[in-house]
Amino acid sequence: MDRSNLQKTDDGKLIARAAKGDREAFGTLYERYVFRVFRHVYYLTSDTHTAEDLTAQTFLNALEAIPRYEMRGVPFLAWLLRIAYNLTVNHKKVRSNGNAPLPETMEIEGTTYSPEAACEAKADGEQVWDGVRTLRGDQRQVIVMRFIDGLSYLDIAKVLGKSIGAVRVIQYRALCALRRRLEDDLGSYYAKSRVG
Amino acid sequence: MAAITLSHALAECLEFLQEGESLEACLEKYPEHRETLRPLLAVAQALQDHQAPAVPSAHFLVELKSKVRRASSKNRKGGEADR
Repeated sequence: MDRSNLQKTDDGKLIARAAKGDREAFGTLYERYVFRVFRHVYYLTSDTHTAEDLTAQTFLNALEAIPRYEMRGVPFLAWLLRIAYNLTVNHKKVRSNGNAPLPETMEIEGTTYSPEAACEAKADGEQVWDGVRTLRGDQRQVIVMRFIDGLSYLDIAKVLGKSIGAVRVIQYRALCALRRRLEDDLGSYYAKSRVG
Repeated sequence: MAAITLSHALAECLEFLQEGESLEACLEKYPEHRETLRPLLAVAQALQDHQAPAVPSAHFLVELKSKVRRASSKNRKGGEADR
């Protein structure tokens, strides 16, 4: 199968071929998901080099494990993210460096730039994501999977081996914990939301 | 039990927000939880609004791709040898 056909092939067929040692098929899966795996790990570690190392390890582990991958309704991305997350929590920097620098804050599209607003937005953005890294492991994972990876509650539930209801409760508790940590710093958001 | 009800309302409100509904419109659906949900949705909005563009370096992508190809070839040769 040529390269352009491979790119149109669905995950299930690519996985079946990759499991039999088709390196082009695995290469296509790699191209399809490398950015999303990197982004997931980056948001858990907030360090580009660490995220690159762990992304590389995720794909090398996935290559080893793909013959054992079973399509039981767990999307391939979710499977990759579970590998990535396990590697991340085992990474010594995550365990030993709670004060890792934050990702740079992106300016919000469609807003009028002012230095004051930019400073305020940056502070809020840093604080909110800094807060995420202080959450319990399962809470942090749910927040990153939901807000960064855009996974559905169903897919998150499959990755974590929990019910959808349990995932919603974890999300609720995570946002409550973040709120407590940030309540002094989110004045502008409350003000905006009250104006609605 | 209260947490389960609230967590469900929160999850639904987040989905409505993603679909483009306003915060007030979402809160109107759950008047009994309005005051609890409002600050949580504000936190969620902050999470949504402040996402850094996380992109790996081009050098890393090229290097990893060749690493993956080498590892695939090695696995395949190993598999053939096993047979």
